[in-house]
Amino acid sequence: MKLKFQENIDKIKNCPSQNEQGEMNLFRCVESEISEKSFVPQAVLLKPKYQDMCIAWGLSVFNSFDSANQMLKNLSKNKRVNYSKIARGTINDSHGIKYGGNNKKHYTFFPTEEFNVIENFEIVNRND
Amino acid sequence: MTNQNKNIDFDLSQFQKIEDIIYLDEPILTHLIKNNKHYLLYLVDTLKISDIYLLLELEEKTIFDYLTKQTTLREVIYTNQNFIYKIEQDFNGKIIGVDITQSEFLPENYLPTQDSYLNYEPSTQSYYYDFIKSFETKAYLRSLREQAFYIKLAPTSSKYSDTIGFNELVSELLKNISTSFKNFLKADFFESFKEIMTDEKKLNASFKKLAPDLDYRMVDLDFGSFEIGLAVDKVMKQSIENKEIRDWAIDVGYKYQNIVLDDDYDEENVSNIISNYSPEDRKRIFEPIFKITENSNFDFKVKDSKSKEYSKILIKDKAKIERILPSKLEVLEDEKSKEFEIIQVTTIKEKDKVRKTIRLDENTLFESADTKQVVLKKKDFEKYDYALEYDVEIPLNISTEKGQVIFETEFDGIEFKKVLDTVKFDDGIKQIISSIYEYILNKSE
Repeated sequence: MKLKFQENIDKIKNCPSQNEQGEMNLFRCVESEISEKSFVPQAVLLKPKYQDMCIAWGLSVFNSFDSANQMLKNLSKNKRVNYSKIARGTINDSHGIKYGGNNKKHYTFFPTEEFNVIENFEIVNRND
Repeated sequence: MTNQNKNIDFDLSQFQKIEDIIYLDEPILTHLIKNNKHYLLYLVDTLKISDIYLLLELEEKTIFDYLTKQTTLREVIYTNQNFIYKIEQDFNGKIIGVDITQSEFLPENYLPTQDSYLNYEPSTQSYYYDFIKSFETKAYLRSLREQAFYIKLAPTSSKYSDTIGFNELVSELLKNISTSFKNFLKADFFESFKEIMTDEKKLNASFKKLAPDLDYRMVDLDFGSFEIGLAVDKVMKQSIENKEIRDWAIDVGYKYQNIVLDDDYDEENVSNIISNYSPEDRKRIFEPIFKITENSNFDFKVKDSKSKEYSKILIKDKAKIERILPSKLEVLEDEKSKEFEIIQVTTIKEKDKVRKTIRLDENTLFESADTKQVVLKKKDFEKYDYALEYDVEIPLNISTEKGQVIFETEFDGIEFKKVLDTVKFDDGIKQIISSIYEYILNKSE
């Protein structure tokens, strides 16, 4: 299973260190509509200071609509302008690696090269 | 923002990173520590070539409040009274500018929404897993401490300055207070619920189940002279299903403080004590306390809260002690559930040995003493079908002499006495009860 940005990920030792198994509904903060752009780790591509940070090469997703929404409310007004919608995807083990960190509500999703975000994510207004 | 100090030296690597609290493709809010001081680094804007952060120092407790949804991030930033550093860092991580500002000068664009609450759920590997638990424990202790009362035991002699001996503290002081408190709990429980739960076995079982939760929580401590803060835990007692028992369980700790650890034992308190608790219960509850208050080597003091002044527990009028503690009344442990019978003991004694006593089991009636005192009550009369219209408490001395049992008592100034063979112990009890009953009947006619 080859991940997107596999070459960059390989340069970081033990990255990602674990993979949560099974199918999960995961929520991603996006711009106004679903596009490839909303599923690219913009920060690490723009900012070399994150090159060696493993989870920067993945995508931040949340375990519920409410968790994603709560996080958005904690962004400054200037940072919040990049996000206006929340998208939900049902992610299984063949779609990539789901890394759970210190915050139980946050996962980093490392999609495979073949993973199609347009097909697998849709804009939602609540959890279900 | 005024007084811009561009390009001053600032090294973020000197801060130890605890954890990213908010992460969205990049760290948004990060908890840092430096010299045991806590900071939040908050990414508020991304420009063409740089990121803008706010760095603010705050109390650890504020971070706990934020992580547990007790305050908003906006409130955390907006109410911060320290200087706030506005840091500009390029995308390579180099700091290219630092301004110092204060929360009231921050532009709205740098702030989160009004309802920027966070309900952080740390995994076991997270720093905040133990952090939140530890703060919850501290918060529990703090709430108990706020409602605690304090007792203080201090030596009256200056020989060892203000310090108190460990053994005397444990064996003469704490043991007596603990004994008194335990006896108070039981007596007050029976007094409060005897009408509701008439089955004595059920009453006993309920109390035994309840007892572990009734203990005071020790929430503060000071030494030299010995000071201790004691609190009634209300939270844990909420699990008691019966509302009346729950209310009693919450109240009884304060009741003990007000009644037993009373600083002056005024007439109203003494009268209440005498009317609400039996002589046996009073002896069990108050004798241990009076052992401390009457000991001239110590001062026993009490106060309602940490900030108040101590008052010495002092019963100036010794007649009050005599009224509370019934004289010549020996209290039997668990007397309510005890039944007595005579047993014969056969033993072998070496002829040349001088010792003339044998050791009896501690549960036997006569133990090492020749005389025992029990209290005859209304229910003892009922056992022999003698119905009394009121409660009585008649101390009955039972002694043995030359194979005979002697039952003696004085009631209403009249002496009653029966002497029988030891095998007729039950008859002796019956006969003396019969005589007293006959006297009571005759007197009422």
